[in-house]
Amino acid sequence: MRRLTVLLVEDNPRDVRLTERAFAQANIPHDLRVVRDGDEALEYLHREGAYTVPDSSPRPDMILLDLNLPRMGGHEFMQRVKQDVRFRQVPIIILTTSGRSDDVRQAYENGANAYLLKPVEFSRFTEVIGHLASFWLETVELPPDL
Amino acid sequence: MTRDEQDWRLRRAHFYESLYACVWQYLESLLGAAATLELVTLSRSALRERYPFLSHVAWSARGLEPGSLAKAIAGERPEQVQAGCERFLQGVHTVVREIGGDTLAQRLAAATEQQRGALERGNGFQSAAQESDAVALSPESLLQDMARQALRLYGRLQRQPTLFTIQAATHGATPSATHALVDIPEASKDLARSEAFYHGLFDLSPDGVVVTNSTGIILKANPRAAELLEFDGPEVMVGLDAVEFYVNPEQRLVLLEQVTQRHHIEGRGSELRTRRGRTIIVQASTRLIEYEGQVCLLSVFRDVTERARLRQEMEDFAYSASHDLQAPLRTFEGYARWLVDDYGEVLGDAGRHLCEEIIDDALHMKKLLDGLLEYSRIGRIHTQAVDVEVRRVLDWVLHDLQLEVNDTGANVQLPESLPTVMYSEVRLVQIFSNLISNALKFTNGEGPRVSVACEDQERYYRFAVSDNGIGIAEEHFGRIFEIFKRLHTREAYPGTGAGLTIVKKIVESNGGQIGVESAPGVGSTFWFTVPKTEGSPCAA
Repeated sequence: MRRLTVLLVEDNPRDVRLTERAFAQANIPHDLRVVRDGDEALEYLHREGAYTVPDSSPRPDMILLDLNLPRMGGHEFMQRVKQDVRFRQVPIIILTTSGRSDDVRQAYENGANAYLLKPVEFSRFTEVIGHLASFWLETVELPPDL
Repeated sequence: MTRDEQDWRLRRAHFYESLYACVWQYLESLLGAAATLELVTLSRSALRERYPFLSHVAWSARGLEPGSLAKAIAGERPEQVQAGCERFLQGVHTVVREIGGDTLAQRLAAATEQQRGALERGNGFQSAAQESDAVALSPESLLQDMARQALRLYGRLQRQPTLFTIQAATHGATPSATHALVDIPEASKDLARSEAFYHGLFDLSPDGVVVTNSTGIILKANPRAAELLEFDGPEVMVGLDAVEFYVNPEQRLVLLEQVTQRHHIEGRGSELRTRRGRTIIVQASTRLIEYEGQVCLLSVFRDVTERARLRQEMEDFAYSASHDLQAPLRTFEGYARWLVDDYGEVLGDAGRHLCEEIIDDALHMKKLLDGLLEYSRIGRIHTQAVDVEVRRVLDWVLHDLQLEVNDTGANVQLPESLPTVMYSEVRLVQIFSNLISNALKFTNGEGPRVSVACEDQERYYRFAVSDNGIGIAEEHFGRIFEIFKRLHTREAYPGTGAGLTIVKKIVESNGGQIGVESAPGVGSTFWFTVPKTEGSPCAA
């Protein structure tokens, strides 16, 4: 199985830690890169700011995006990425606590590829991450030049 | 409900039904059925908020629908029933005095008291026929016309009240106790006074009042209506098309259609745009009236913008609070699990046990938050009402609860005939799912027997879910509908205490009522009503 490069956009360090652990427990070969908000995520993609060295910012196979973020929020970030020809084919998976129907609708309108709710129970969270990773790695064809 | 209380209710219902029947007969013999019906409606509409059950008592041109009072007071507190029934009687007397004068009011009071005495002595129902003999000489048609006219004054206020006053003054105020009813000038004076009364009501009303003709053109408005819609005065509004004020003009068309069918619509919420372009939320009651010789719409509306805003704010708060509180819970659960999995040996049995309890509580709190979230969602998230077959809903709910049914060995009975209702399907599923799973949960060990019943009543369907479980003491009847209030430990009966609160909010936000009848050790019956709507198909 090839290695999945994931860009996690998440501001809560504890959620980051739990997500890392979920990936590890789900037994997915992965390279998880973490940024804290939409602005930093754009810098990562554009290799600006702290990410000018190419090795520090490998192109992600998918973006895991929280919606509720400081500075640039999830919705705005997604609009920017989906307008950018270089990155709009990168699958964006929303990973959030908000089940608000407005959020779900707007996310899909902006081109989200899936919308996941973070479960409170860690064992469920591991399952979700496992399903997600195996789906994108084994079931679907990803864009060719990734 | 205790048996005593039920008996009391039956006796009260019988008492007031007889009393009201006497009042009706008396007034009908003088004023005719139509005016009497108007009078009754007018009297109770003022008490609608304080005593909502009065609105469920069915009056028609034949008088009080037998049995409808008993139905309306089911589930009401005794003090509330007593007070409401008496206030209604007082209301009728007040209106009678306003439109017919003191003499008529006194006679009505005498007849009522006589009937009351007879009933209290247990003599049963005394016909008011002997009373009508006493007034048989009165020119009935004239009185009937006058009564109708007086009742219509609400809509035709500014027409020469002086005429009546002068007439009354020339004839002098010589109230004759026995013949005042045929004394036209005396009655005219009353009429003049009632005109002044309605005039005052119209001008001083804290609610906006507007009369439109059948095409929606405003014929009349009161000062409060002008103030609410930001006009310089009510006269400026005359001639405008009411549909212009609607943010969503379709609402007006729907209202027009419905009011034509049902003659009155109560408590309908709408968004209006004021002359200055501000949006306000109003709650309006509308009915068909005859005004200056044509069929018109009388609308009374109240500004509820602030109330709606506060409610929205509260619900938004509950929503975001319950979301933000979930993030730390994920950490509690996740980290405690992490400790058990990776550091279990270091922690030892005691340490692992503590972690398990953290996990337990975190998951329980998640359920509490879900309850809070769901509660705040009802009313905030609009769910579409559609034709729902109740049988399909129940099949679905029972399918979902199959595990519980099998585990408890329960016997669940459904009625043979179930209607189709206008409701949000998801909400109806929620109601039945909560009530039936409670019935399966609160058992005393024996195989639970759960039955669902449906009564087809005049204005609504009444559904009931009964069980033979542990029951509830009467003093807890109110408490069980409060959020997170529980009567048992979580160990004895798991749950969050949000279920019934959610059910109550759904039922009430759909115009229904909910209640419980129960006795400890015998079982409980939870009932709720679903209003029938125009065009909703009958039992099938």
